[in-house]
Amino acid sequence: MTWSGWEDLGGVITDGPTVASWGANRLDCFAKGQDNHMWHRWWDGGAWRGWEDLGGIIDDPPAAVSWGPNRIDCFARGMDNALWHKWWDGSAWRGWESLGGVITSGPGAASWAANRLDVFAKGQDNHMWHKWWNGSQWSGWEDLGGVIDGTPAAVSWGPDRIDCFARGMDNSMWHKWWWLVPTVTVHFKVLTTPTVPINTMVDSMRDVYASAGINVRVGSTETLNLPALNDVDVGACLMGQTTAEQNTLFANRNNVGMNDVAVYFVRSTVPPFNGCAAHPAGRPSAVVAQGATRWTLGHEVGHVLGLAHVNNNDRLMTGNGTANITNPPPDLVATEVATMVASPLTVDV
Amino acid sequence: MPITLDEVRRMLDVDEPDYPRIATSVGPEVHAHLAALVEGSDPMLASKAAYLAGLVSGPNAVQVLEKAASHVEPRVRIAAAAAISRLAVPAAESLVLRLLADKDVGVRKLAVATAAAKPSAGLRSRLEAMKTGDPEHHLRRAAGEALLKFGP
Repeated sequence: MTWSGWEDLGGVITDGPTVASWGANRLDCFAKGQDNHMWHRWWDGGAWRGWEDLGGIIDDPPAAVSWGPNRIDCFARGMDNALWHKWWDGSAWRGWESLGGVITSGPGAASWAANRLDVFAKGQDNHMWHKWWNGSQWSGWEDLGGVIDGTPAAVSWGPDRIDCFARGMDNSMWHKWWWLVPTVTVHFKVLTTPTVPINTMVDSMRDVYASAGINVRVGSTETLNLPALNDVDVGACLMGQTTAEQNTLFANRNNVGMNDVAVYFVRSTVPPFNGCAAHPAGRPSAVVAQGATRWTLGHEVGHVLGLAHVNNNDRLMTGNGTANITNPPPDLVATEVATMVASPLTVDV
Repeated sequence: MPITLDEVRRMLDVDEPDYPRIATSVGPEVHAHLAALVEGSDPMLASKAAYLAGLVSGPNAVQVLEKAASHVEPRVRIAAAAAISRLAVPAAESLVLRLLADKDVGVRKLAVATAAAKPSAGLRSRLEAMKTGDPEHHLRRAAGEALLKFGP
Protein backbone atom coordinates (compact mmCIF):
# COMPACT_ATOMS: atom_id res chain seq x y z
CA MET A 1 0.00 0.00 0.00
CA THR A 2 1.31 3.41 -0.86
CA TRP A 3 0.25 6.86 -1.78
CA SER A 4 0.66 7.94 -5.40
CA GLY A 5 2.28 11.15 -6.39
CA TRP A 6 0.22 14.24 -7.13
CA GLU A 7 -1.39 14.05 -10.54
CA ASP A 8 -2.15 17.32 -12.34
CA LEU A 9 -5.68 17.22 -13.63
CA GLY A 10 -5.57 20.68 -15.09
CA GLY A 11 -8.33 23.20 -15.36
CA VAL A 12 -8.59 26.61 -13.72
CA ILE A 13 -10.82 26.26 -10.71
CA THR A 14 -11.77 28.95 -8.24
CA ASP A 15 -13.46 26.89 -5.56
CA GLY A 16 -13.70 23.26 -4.58
CA PRO A 17 -13.28 20.63 -5.79
CA THR A 18 -15.70 18.08 -4.44
CA VAL A 19 -15.95 14.47 -5.48
CA ALA A 20 -18.47 11.65 -5.57
CA SER A 21 -18.36 8.04 -6.70
CA TRP A 22 -21.22 5.88 -7.90
CA GLY A 23 -19.22 2.68 -8.25
CA ALA A 24 -15.85 0.99 -8.09
CA ASN A 25 -13.20 2.66 -10.23
CA ARG A 26 -15.46 5.64 -10.85
CA LEU A 27 -14.81 9.23 -9.75
CA ASP A 28 -16.71 12.42 -10.52
CA CYS A 29 -15.08 15.71 -9.56
CA PHE A 30 -16.79 19.09 -9.57
CA ALA A 31 -15.44 22.58 -9.08
CA LYS A 32 -16.30 26.19 -9.68
CA GLY A 33 -14.61 27.68 -12.70
CA GLN A 34 -13.46 31.21 -13.39
CA ASP A 35 -16.75 31.80 -15.15
CA ASN A 36 -18.66 30.74 -12.00
CA HIS A 37 -19.95 27.70 -13.86
CA MET A 38 -19.71 24.28 -12.31
CA TRP A 39 -17.18 22.13 -14.12
CA HIS A 40 -16.93 18.38 -14.14
CA ARG A 41 -14.06 16.00 -14.65
CA TRP A 42 -14.43 12.26 -14.20
CA TRP A 43 -12.47 9.03 -14.12
CA ASP A 44 -14.36 6.33 -16.05
CA GLY A 45 -12.18 3.42 -15.02
CA GLY A 46 -9.71 3.81 -17.85
CA ALA A 47 -9.02 7.49 -18.31
CA TRP A 48 -9.86 10.96 -17.07
CA ARG A 49 -12.56 12.70 -19.09
CA GLY A 50 -13.50 16.37 -19.23
CA TRP A 51 -13.43 19.11 -18.23
CA GLU A 52 -17.15 19.40 -18.94
CA ASP A 53 -18.98 22.69 -18.45
CA LEU A 54 -22.17 22.06 -16.45
CA GLY A 55 -23.22 25.70 -16.48
CA GLY A 56 -24.93 27.50 -13.69
CA ILE A 57 -23.70 30.54 -11.85
CA ILE A 58 -22.52 29.23 -8.54
CA ASP A 59 -20.92 30.66 -5.45
CA ASP A 60 -18.77 28.62 -3.05
CA PRO A 61 -17.70 25.04 -3.68
CA PRO A 62 -20.41 22.68 -4.92
CA ALA A 63 -21.35 19.44 -3.17
CA ALA A 64 -21.79 16.10 -4.88
CA VAL A 65 -23.15 12.75 -3.76
CA SER A 66 -24.29 9.52 -5.35
CA TRP A 67 -27.09 7.29 -4.06
CA GLY A 68 -26.22 4.45 -6.43
CA PRO A 69 -24.82 3.35 -9.77
CA ASN A 70 -25.00 5.87 -12.60
CA ARG A 71 -26.50 8.57 -10.39
CA ILE A 72 -24.91 11.81 -9.21
CA ASP A 73 -26.53 14.77 -7.50
CA CYS A 74 -24.75 18.11 -7.30
CA PHE A 75 -25.72 21.09 -5.20
CA ALA A 76 -24.44 24.63 -5.11
CA ARG A 77 -25.31 28.03 -3.77
CA GLY A 78 -26.45 30.28 -6.57
CA MET A 79 -25.68 33.94 -6.85
CA ASP A 80 -29.23 34.50 -5.60
CA ASN A 81 -28.24 32.65 -2.37
CA ALA A 82 -30.72 29.88 -3.10
CA LEU A 83 -29.74 26.23 -3.17
CA TRP A 84 -29.48 24.84 -6.70
CA HIS A 85 -29.49 21.25 -7.83
CA LYS A 86 -28.17 19.48 -10.92
CA TRP A 87 -28.15 15.73 -11.36
CA TRP A 88 -27.04 12.95 -13.67
CA ASP A 89 -29.92 10.48 -14.03
CA GLY A 90 -27.98 7.77 -15.84
CA SER A 91 -28.43 9.14 -19.31
CA ALA A 92 -28.23 12.90 -19.12
CA TRP A 93 -27.61 15.87 -16.89
CA ARG A 94 -30.81 17.45 -15.54
CA GLY A 95 -31.29 20.89 -13.99
CA TRP A 96 -30.33 23.33 -12.77
CA GLU A 97 -33.28 23.25 -10.38
CA SER A 98 -33.73 25.85 -7.64
CA LEU A 99 -34.47 24.39 -4.22
CA GLY A 100 -34.98 27.81 -2.70
CA GLY A 101 -33.89 29.00 0.67
CA VAL A 102 -31.42 31.72 1.60
CA ILE A 103 -28.12 30.08 2.39
CA THR A 104 -24.88 31.75 3.32
CA SER A 105 -22.46 28.91 2.63
CA GLY A 106 -21.90 26.21 0.15
CA PRO A 107 -23.89 23.03 0.69
CA GLY A 108 -22.90 19.65 2.06
CA ALA A 109 -24.71 16.57 0.82
CA ALA A 110 -25.12 12.94 1.81
CA SER A 111 -27.28 10.00 0.85
CA TRP A 112 -28.10 7.04 3.12
CA ALA A 113 -30.18 5.07 0.62
CA ALA A 114 -31.23 4.91 -2.99
CA ASN A 115 -33.47 7.82 -3.90
CA ARG A 116 -32.61 9.66 -0.68
CA LEU A 117 -30.71 12.95 -0.49
CA ASP A 118 -29.86 15.16 2.46
CA VAL A 119 -28.44 18.61 1.91
CA PHE A 120 -27.07 20.97 4.56
CA ALA A 121 -26.04 24.60 4.47
CA LYS A 122 -25.54 27.59 6.72
CA GLY A 123 -28.49 29.92 6.99
CA GLN A 124 -28.63 33.66 7.52
CA ASP A 125 -28.86 32.99 11.26
CA ASN A 126 -25.65 30.92 11.14
CA HIS A 127 -27.63 27.82 12.01
CA MET A 128 -27.19 24.70 9.94
CA TRP A 129 -30.28 24.09 7.82
CA HIS A 130 -31.34 20.83 6.26
CA LYS A 131 -33.41 19.92 3.23
CA TRP A 132 -34.01 16.40 1.97
CA TRP A 133 -35.43 14.38 -0.90
CA ASN A 134 -37.47 11.42 0.40
CA GLY A 135 -37.91 9.66 -2.90
CA SER A 136 -40.94 11.56 -4.03
CA GLN A 137 -40.56 15.17 -2.96
CA TRP A 138 -38.30 17.75 -1.42
CA SER A 139 -38.90 18.67 2.20
CA GLY A 140 -38.99 22.17 3.55
CA TRP A 141 -35.98 23.59 5.32
CA GLU A 142 -35.32 22.17 8.78
CA ASP A 143 -33.42 24.27 11.32
CA LEU A 144 -30.73 22.12 12.94
CA GLY A 145 -29.39 24.90 15.13
CA GLY A 146 -25.79 25.45 16.00
CA VAL A 147 -23.70 28.51 15.23
CA ILE A 148 -21.51 27.54 12.33
CA ASP A 149 -19.07 29.19 10.01
CA GLY A 150 -18.26 28.03 6.51
CA THR A 151 -19.60 25.10 4.56
CA PRO A 152 -20.82 22.06 6.50
CA ALA A 153 -19.74 18.58 5.45
CA ALA A 154 -22.02 15.57 5.48
CA VAL A 155 -21.61 11.86 4.92
CA SER A 156 -23.57 8.66 5.52
CA TRP A 157 -21.97 5.37 6.46
CA GLY A 158 -25.17 3.39 5.93
CA PRO A 159 -28.93 3.36 6.05
CA ASP A 160 -30.60 5.77 8.44
CA ARG A 161 -27.38 7.48 9.45
CA ILE A 162 -25.95 10.90 8.62
CA ASP A 163 -22.96 12.64 10.18
CA CYS A 164 -22.45 16.36 9.71
CA PHE A 165 -19.39 18.41 10.56
CA ALA A 166 -18.99 22.14 10.66
CA ARG A 167 -16.62 24.78 11.88
CA GLY A 168 -17.98 26.61 14.87
CA MET A 169 -17.58 30.29 15.62
CA ASP A 170 -15.02 29.15 18.19
CA ASN A 171 -13.05 27.55 15.32
CA SER A 172 -13.64 24.11 16.81
CA MET A 173 -14.94 21.34 14.62
CA TRP A 174 -18.48 20.43 15.61
CA HIS A 175 -20.35 17.22 14.87
CA LYS A 176 -24.06 16.53 14.62
CA TRP A 177 -25.50 13.19 13.60
CA TRP A 178 -28.85 11.68 12.81
CA TRP A 179 -30.06 8.13 13.16
CA LEU A 180 -33.35 6.33 13.53
CA VAL A 181 -34.29 5.46 17.06
CA PRO A 182 -37.11 3.16 18.14
CA THR A 183 -39.53 5.60 19.66
CA VAL A 184 -42.74 5.38 21.61
CA THR A 185 -44.89 8.47 21.30
CA VAL A 186 -47.20 9.15 24.20
CA HIS A 187 -49.93 11.75 24.49
CA PHE A 188 -51.15 12.88 27.87
CA LYS A 189 -54.79 13.59 28.62
CA VAL A 190 -54.97 15.12 32.06
CA LEU A 191 -58.22 14.87 34.02
CA THR A 192 -56.41 15.08 37.37
CA THR A 193 -52.82 16.09 37.92
CA PRO A 194 -51.04 13.20 39.63
CA THR A 195 -49.26 13.54 42.95
CA VAL A 196 -45.94 12.62 41.35
CA PRO A 197 -45.43 15.29 38.66
CA ILE A 198 -45.93 14.09 35.11
CA ASN A 199 -42.45 15.32 34.18
CA THR A 200 -40.97 13.12 36.90
CA MET A 201 -42.90 10.14 35.56
CA VAL A 202 -41.69 10.90 32.03
CA ASP A 203 -38.09 11.28 33.16
CA SER A 204 -38.31 8.00 35.07
CA MET A 205 -39.85 6.25 32.09
CA ARG A 206 -37.17 7.65 29.81
CA ASP A 207 -34.45 6.43 32.16
CA VAL A 208 -35.73 2.89 31.88
CA TYR A 209 -36.66 2.90 28.21
CA ALA A 210 -33.33 4.51 27.23
CA SER A 211 -31.57 1.52 28.75
CA ALA A 212 -33.40 -0.51 26.12
CA GLY A 213 -32.48 1.93 23.34
CA ILE A 214 -36.05 3.15 23.11
CA ASN A 215 -36.84 6.84 23.00
CA VAL A 216 -39.94 8.26 24.66
CA ARG A 217 -41.51 11.20 22.90
CA VAL A 218 -44.29 13.25 24.43
CA GLY A 219 -46.52 14.04 21.49
CA SER A 220 -48.97 16.34 23.23
CA THR A 221 -50.54 17.19 26.55
CA GLU A 222 -54.18 18.11 26.84
CA THR A 223 -56.37 18.91 29.82
CA LEU A 224 -59.74 17.15 29.75
CA ASN A 225 -62.67 18.36 31.80
CA LEU A 226 -64.60 15.11 32.12
CA PRO A 227 -65.86 14.83 35.71
CA ALA A 228 -67.95 11.77 34.87
CA LEU A 229 -64.78 9.88 33.91
CA ASN A 230 -62.34 11.22 36.48
CA ASP A 231 -62.96 8.14 38.64
CA VAL A 232 -63.13 5.65 35.87
CA ASP A 233 -64.54 2.16 36.00
CA VAL A 234 -61.87 -0.19 34.67
CA GLY A 235 -63.55 -3.44 35.64
CA ALA A 236 -61.11 -6.25 36.18
CA CYS A 237 -58.47 -4.42 34.13
CA LEU A 238 -57.76 -7.34 31.85
CA MET A 239 -56.18 -6.94 28.46
CA GLY A 240 -58.79 -6.99 25.74
CA GLN A 241 -61.62 -6.25 28.16
CA THR A 242 -62.76 -2.70 28.63
CA THR A 243 -65.71 -1.03 30.26
CA ALA A 244 -68.06 1.46 28.70
CA GLU A 245 -66.35 4.19 30.70
CA GLN A 246 -62.91 3.21 29.41
CA ASN A 247 -64.22 3.17 25.86
CA THR A 248 -65.73 6.62 26.30
CA LEU A 249 -62.57 7.99 27.88
CA PHE A 250 -60.28 6.50 25.26
CA ALA A 251 -62.33 8.05 22.48
CA ASN A 252 -60.71 11.36 23.40
CA ARG A 253 -57.75 11.15 21.04
CA ASN A 254 -56.95 14.64 19.80
CA ASN A 255 -53.47 14.63 18.22
CA VAL A 256 -53.01 10.89 18.88
CA GLY A 257 -51.71 9.03 15.84
CA MET A 258 -52.61 5.44 15.06
CA ASN A 259 -49.33 4.15 16.47
CA ASP A 260 -49.25 6.48 19.45
CA VAL A 261 -50.21 5.70 23.04
CA ALA A 262 -52.71 7.89 24.88
CA VAL A 263 -52.29 8.06 28.65
CA TYR A 264 -55.15 9.40 30.72
CA PHE A 265 -54.32 10.81 34.13
CA VAL A 266 -57.41 10.32 36.27
CA ARG A 267 -58.11 10.82 39.94
CA SER A 268 -58.85 7.17 40.57
CA THR A 269 -59.85 3.93 38.99
CA VAL A 270 -62.63 1.67 40.18
CA PRO A 271 -61.48 -0.74 41.53
CA PRO A 272 -58.49 1.18 42.90
CA PHE A 273 -55.37 0.60 40.83
CA ASN A 274 -52.26 2.72 40.31
CA GLY A 275 -52.94 2.39 36.64
CA CYS A 276 -54.56 0.15 34.08
CA ALA A 277 -53.42 -0.60 30.54
CA ALA A 278 -56.50 -2.47 29.29
CA HIS A 279 -57.68 -0.79 26.12
CA PRO A 280 -59.89 -1.50 23.14
CA ALA A 281 -58.33 -2.73 19.89
CA GLY A 282 -56.99 0.06 17.78
CA ARG A 283 -56.89 2.54 20.64
CA PRO A 284 -53.67 1.92 22.56
CA SER A 285 -54.24 3.61 25.89
CA ALA A 286 -53.69 3.43 29.61
CA VAL A 287 -54.98 5.22 32.65
CA VAL A 288 -52.74 6.39 35.46
CA ALA A 289 -54.25 7.27 38.82
CA GLN A 290 -53.45 10.27 40.97
CA GLY A 291 -51.66 8.13 43.53
CA ALA A 292 -49.40 6.39 41.01
CA THR A 293 -45.67 6.04 41.56
CA ARG A 294 -42.95 7.57 39.42
CA TRP A 295 -42.61 4.24 37.62
CA THR A 296 -46.29 3.58 36.95
CA LEU A 297 -46.34 5.46 33.64
CA GLY A 298 -43.52 3.39 32.16
CA HIS A 299 -45.00 0.25 33.67
CA GLU A 300 -48.44 0.78 32.14
CA VAL A 301 -47.06 1.77 28.74
CA GLY A 302 -44.94 -1.37 29.02
CA HIS A 303 -48.17 -3.34 29.27
CA VAL A 304 -49.54 -1.50 26.24
CA LEU A 305 -46.41 -2.53 24.34
CA GLY A 306 -47.04 -6.15 25.23
CA LEU A 307 -45.18 -6.75 28.49
CA ALA A 308 -46.55 -8.88 31.31
CA HIS A 309 -45.90 -8.81 35.03
CA VAL A 310 -42.82 -10.46 36.47
CA ASN A 311 -41.98 -11.48 40.01
CA ASN A 312 -38.83 -9.41 40.35
CA ASN A 313 -38.63 -6.06 42.10
CA ASP A 314 -35.55 -5.04 40.15
CA ARG A 315 -37.65 -4.89 37.00
CA LEU A 316 -40.06 -2.29 35.67
CA MET A 317 -42.76 -4.87 35.07
CA THR A 318 -42.77 -6.18 38.61
CA GLY A 319 -46.14 -7.38 39.69
CA ASN A 320 -45.19 -6.66 43.28
CA GLY A 321 -45.70 -2.93 43.00
CA THR A 322 -43.59 -0.27 41.37
CA ALA A 323 -43.52 1.42 44.78
CA ASN A 324 -41.37 -1.49 45.90
CA ILE A 325 -38.82 -1.35 43.11
CA THR A 326 -35.35 -1.95 44.40
CA ASN A 327 -32.16 -0.69 42.84
CA PRO A 328 -33.77 1.99 40.62
CA PRO A 329 -33.98 2.59 37.78
CA PRO A 330 -35.65 -0.76 37.23
CA ASP A 331 -34.53 -3.09 34.49
CA LEU A 332 -35.93 -4.34 31.22
CA VAL A 333 -34.54 -7.70 30.16
CA ALA A 334 -33.63 -8.64 26.61
CA THR A 335 -36.84 -10.51 25.89
CA GLU A 336 -38.88 -7.54 27.10
CA VAL A 337 -36.87 -5.16 24.94
CA ALA A 338 -37.45 -7.41 21.94
CA THR A 339 -41.19 -7.38 22.61
CA MET A 340 -41.24 -3.60 22.96
CA VAL A 341 -39.23 -3.00 19.79
CA ALA A 342 -41.42 -5.45 17.88
CA SER A 343 -44.56 -3.61 18.94
CA PRO A 344 -46.18 -1.60 16.14
CA LEU A 345 -46.32 1.21 18.68
CA THR A 346 -42.53 1.44 18.71
CA VAL A 347 -41.68 3.30 15.56
CA ASP A 348 -38.28 4.22 14.15
CA VAL A 349 -38.12 8.00 14.23
CA MET B 1 -51.08 -18.45 61.16
CA PRO B 2 -53.04 -15.18 61.06
CA ILE B 3 -52.18 -12.76 58.35
CA THR B 4 -50.12 -9.76 59.39
CA LEU B 5 -50.55 -6.10 58.57
CA ASP B 6 -47.33 -6.11 56.55
CA GLU B 7 -48.57 -9.03 54.49
CA VAL B 8 -51.81 -7.23 53.72
CA ARG B 9 -49.94 -4.07 52.88
CA ARG B 10 -47.66 -6.00 50.54
CA MET B 11 -50.61 -7.56 48.75
CA LEU B 12 -52.24 -4.19 48.19
CA ASP B 13 -49.16 -2.09 47.53
CA VAL B 14 -48.97 -3.22 43.92
CA ASP B 15 -49.99 -1.30 40.84
CA GLU B 16 -52.87 -3.55 39.88
CA PRO B 17 -54.01 -5.67 42.86
CA ASP B 18 -55.84 -8.87 42.00
CA TYR B 19 -58.68 -8.23 44.44
CA PRO B 20 -60.67 -11.45 43.86
CA ARG B 21 -57.56 -13.56 44.42
CA ILE B 22 -56.55 -11.62 47.50
CA ALA B 23 -60.07 -11.86 48.89
CA THR B 24 -60.01 -15.64 48.66
CA SER B 25 -56.60 -15.86 50.29
CA VAL B 26 -57.47 -13.95 53.46
CA GLY B 27 -60.00 -14.46 56.23
CA PRO B 28 -62.26 -12.10 58.16
CA GLU B 29 -59.38 -11.23 60.48
CA VAL B 30 -58.04 -9.11 57.64
CA HIS B 31 -60.56 -6.39 58.42
CA ALA B 32 -58.57 -5.17 61.41
CA HIS B 33 -55.59 -4.63 59.13
CA LEU B 34 -57.74 -3.04 56.44
CA ALA B 35 -59.11 -0.63 59.03
CA ALA B 36 -55.57 0.30 59.96
CA LEU B 37 -54.66 0.90 56.34
CA VAL B 38 -57.80 2.97 55.76
CA GLU B 39 -56.71 5.17 58.65
CA GLY B 40 -53.13 5.33 57.40
CA SER B 41 -51.40 8.18 55.63
CA ASP B 42 -51.37 6.74 52.10
CA PRO B 43 -54.66 7.50 50.29
CA MET B 44 -53.86 5.04 47.50
CA LEU B 45 -53.34 2.22 49.95
CA ALA B 46 -56.36 3.33 51.99
CA SER B 47 -58.61 3.19 48.95
CA LYS B 48 -57.31 -0.29 48.04
CA ALA B 49 -57.94 -1.46 51.59
CA ALA B 50 -61.44 -0.03 51.56
CA TYR B 51 -62.27 -1.79 48.33
CA LEU B 52 -60.92 -5.11 49.55
CA ALA B 53 -63.05 -4.80 52.69
CA GLY B 54 -66.17 -5.14 50.60
CA LEU B 55 -64.94 -8.35 49.04
CA VAL B 56 -64.16 -10.19 52.25
CA SER B 57 -67.17 -11.37 54.24
CA GLY B 58 -67.04 -10.77 57.93
CA PRO B 59 -68.75 -8.93 60.74
CA ASN B 60 -66.29 -6.06 60.68
CA ALA B 61 -66.50 -5.27 56.99
CA VAL B 62 -69.08 -2.56 57.56
CA GLN B 63 -66.94 -0.93 60.22
CA VAL B 64 -64.05 -0.68 57.76
CA LEU B 65 -66.31 0.78 55.13
CA GLU B 66 -67.80 3.25 57.60
CA LYS B 67 -64.30 4.53 58.28
CA ALA B 68 -63.62 4.70 54.56
CA ALA B 69 -66.94 6.43 53.86
CA SER B 70 -65.98 9.13 56.36
CA HIS B 71 -62.45 9.54 55.07
CA VAL B 72 -61.30 13.05 54.24
CA GLU B 73 -59.87 11.86 50.94
CA PRO B 74 -62.53 11.46 48.21
CA ARG B 75 -60.63 8.57 46.58
CA VAL B 76 -61.11 6.53 49.73
CA ARG B 77 -64.82 7.36 49.89
CA ILE B 78 -65.09 6.40 46.22
CA ALA B 79 -63.54 3.03 46.96
CA ALA B 80 -65.97 2.62 49.84
CA ALA B 81 -68.92 3.48 47.61
CA ALA B 82 -67.80 0.88 45.10
CA ALA B 83 -67.10 -1.74 47.75
CA ILE B 84 -70.47 -1.44 49.44
CA SER B 85 -72.11 -2.97 46.41
CA ARG B 86 -70.41 -6.21 47.47
CA LEU B 87 -71.83 -6.15 51.00
CA ALA B 88 -74.93 -8.13 51.81
CA VAL B 89 -75.86 -6.56 55.10
CA PRO B 90 -78.60 -4.04 55.88
CA ALA B 91 -76.19 -1.55 57.36
CA ALA B 92 -74.97 -0.86 53.87
CA GLU B 93 -78.05 1.18 53.03
CA SER B 94 -77.24 3.91 55.51
CA LEU B 95 -73.73 4.11 54.12
CA VAL B 96 -75.01 4.41 50.60
CA LEU B 97 -77.44 7.13 51.64
CA ARG B 98 -74.60 9.05 53.23
CA LEU B 99 -72.43 8.69 50.15
CA LEU B 100 -75.26 9.69 47.81
CA ALA B 101 -75.22 13.02 49.63
CA ASP B 102 -71.45 13.39 49.46
CA LYS B 103 -70.10 16.72 48.31
CA ASP B 104 -67.75 15.01 45.85
CA VAL B 105 -69.16 14.23 42.42
CA GLY B 106 -67.07 11.07 42.03
CA VAL B 107 -68.28 9.69 45.32
CA ARG B 108 -71.91 10.33 44.37
CA LYS B 109 -71.33 8.68 41.00
CA LEU B 110 -70.14 5.45 42.60
CA ALA B 111 -72.85 5.63 45.23
CA VAL B 112 -75.49 5.85 42.52
CA ALA B 113 -74.03 2.78 40.84
CA THR B 114 -74.09 0.93 44.16
CA ALA B 115 -77.63 2.08 44.93
CA ALA B 116 -78.79 0.66 41.61
CA ALA B 117 -77.65 -2.75 42.80
CA LYS B 118 -79.41 -2.46 46.18
CA PRO B 119 -82.99 -1.40 45.64
CA SER B 120 -84.79 -0.09 48.71
CA ALA B 121 -87.40 2.52 49.48
CA GLY B 122 -84.88 4.81 51.13
CA LEU B 123 -82.51 4.67 48.20
CA ARG B 124 -85.35 5.13 45.72
CA SER B 125 -86.38 8.32 47.44
CA ARG B 126 -82.84 9.65 47.45
CA LEU B 127 -82.27 8.73 43.80
CA GLU B 128 -85.51 10.42 42.81
CA ALA B 129 -84.26 13.57 44.48
CA MET B 130 -80.95 13.28 42.67
CA LYS B 131 -82.65 12.65 39.36
CA THR B 132 -83.96 16.18 39.38
CA GLY B 133 -81.79 17.97 41.89
CA ASP B 134 -78.17 16.91 41.50
CA PRO B 135 -76.09 19.76 40.09
CA GLU B 136 -74.25 17.39 37.74
CA HIS B 137 -76.05 16.48 34.55
CA HIS B 138 -74.40 13.07 34.27
CA LEU B 139 -75.46 12.23 37.82
CA ARG B 140 -79.07 13.26 37.21
CA ARG B 141 -79.03 10.94 34.22
CA ALA B 142 -77.31 8.14 36.17
CA ALA B 143 -79.87 8.46 38.98
CA GLY B 144 -82.67 8.16 36.46
CA GLU B 145 -81.09 5.08 34.92
CA ALA B 146 -80.63 3.56 38.38
CA LEU B 147 -84.31 4.07 39.16
CA LEU B 148 -85.24 2.15 36.05
CA LYS B 149 -83.45 -0.84 37.53
CA PHE B 150 -85.63 -0.56 40.65
CA GLY B 151 -88.73 -1.34 38.62
CA PRO B 152 -92.22 0.04 39.30
